[in-house]
Amino acid sequence: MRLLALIAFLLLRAIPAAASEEGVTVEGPWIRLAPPEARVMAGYGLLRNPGSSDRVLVGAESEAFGAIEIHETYEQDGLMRMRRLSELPIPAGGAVALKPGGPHLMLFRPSKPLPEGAEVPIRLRFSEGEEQVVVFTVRAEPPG
Amino acid sequence: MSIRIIAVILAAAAAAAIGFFLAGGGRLGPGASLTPEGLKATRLYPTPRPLPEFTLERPDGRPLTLADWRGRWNLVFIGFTHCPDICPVALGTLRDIERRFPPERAPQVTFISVDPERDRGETLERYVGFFNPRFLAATGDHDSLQRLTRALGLVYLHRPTEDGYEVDHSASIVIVDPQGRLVGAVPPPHDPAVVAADLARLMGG
Repeated sequence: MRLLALIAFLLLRAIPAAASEEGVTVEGPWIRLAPPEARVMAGYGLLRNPGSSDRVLVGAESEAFGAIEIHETYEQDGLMRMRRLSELPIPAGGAVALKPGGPHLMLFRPSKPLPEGAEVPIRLRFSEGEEQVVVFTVRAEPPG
Repeated sequence: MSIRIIAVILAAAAAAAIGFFLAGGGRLGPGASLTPEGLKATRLYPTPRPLPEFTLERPDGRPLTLADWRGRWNLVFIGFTHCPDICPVALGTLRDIERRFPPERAPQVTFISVDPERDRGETLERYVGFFNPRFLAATGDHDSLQRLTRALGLVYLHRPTEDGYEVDHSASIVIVDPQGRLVGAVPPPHDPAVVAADLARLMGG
């Protein structure tokens, strides 16, 4: 009896936990194909947060790159500029597009050349300490 | 209240008239041979501007001068190879534009690196050649680069960051005619089909 209660307790605990921990999904994760000489590349995709609380992307890493930062391209006074973002919030129930000319993952120093079609796992880090590995595909053009 | 509305309408009409006059003036000005009619994305200068002589260095050490632009229609873009987002997109777009023309009519594309500290020799050549081996690449000292980019109506600057520097730059595609004159520029974002159509119209085809 006590065991049943324990199981029921654990199940009840698990259900809401699973709902609230619904992870951020990345639709169409891709890395733009770059010349083999390129020391930097860029990663894109649609970050969707189906959960009921805001999520904040704070960093990323991958064995395929020396370092990864969150950057944003923006236009000011007719100049294209880039700035580093310390974090990228993804509102509950909302989405943020990493896209050319906007926020993107800046991928520094590829450890080896990445040909078209290569699949690159990147670990995304969120502010609550959660991590999530997303496989990005190297493409010459945006998907779709 | 109604007087103010009338004043606003009059001001708007005056502004429209001035705009119309300016557009017409551009078309009818002396030396103008190109008209903005039908151009979808290109901003034309009222009259083509002759460019000053310049000397940049190509990756193989040969010079790039205004003579290399004469006799062909040219598309010019400034950037740098440590640019992961804007420059690869622009070079891909330029490749796409170039492919839309038969070889004998295709524009010549020049990528000018405004980051000579990092972009010299083979790095620049292979980077640009990756997109299209026919593309010209060049860079130079900052005096030469500043003079030329200014003449092209473009701007760049090196901005220090915590771990180095970032290069801010104009992202317009500049159009230079076969006489080596600055004709116009296409601000981003660029649709290859639209830019190619504008260019074909400017070429008079």
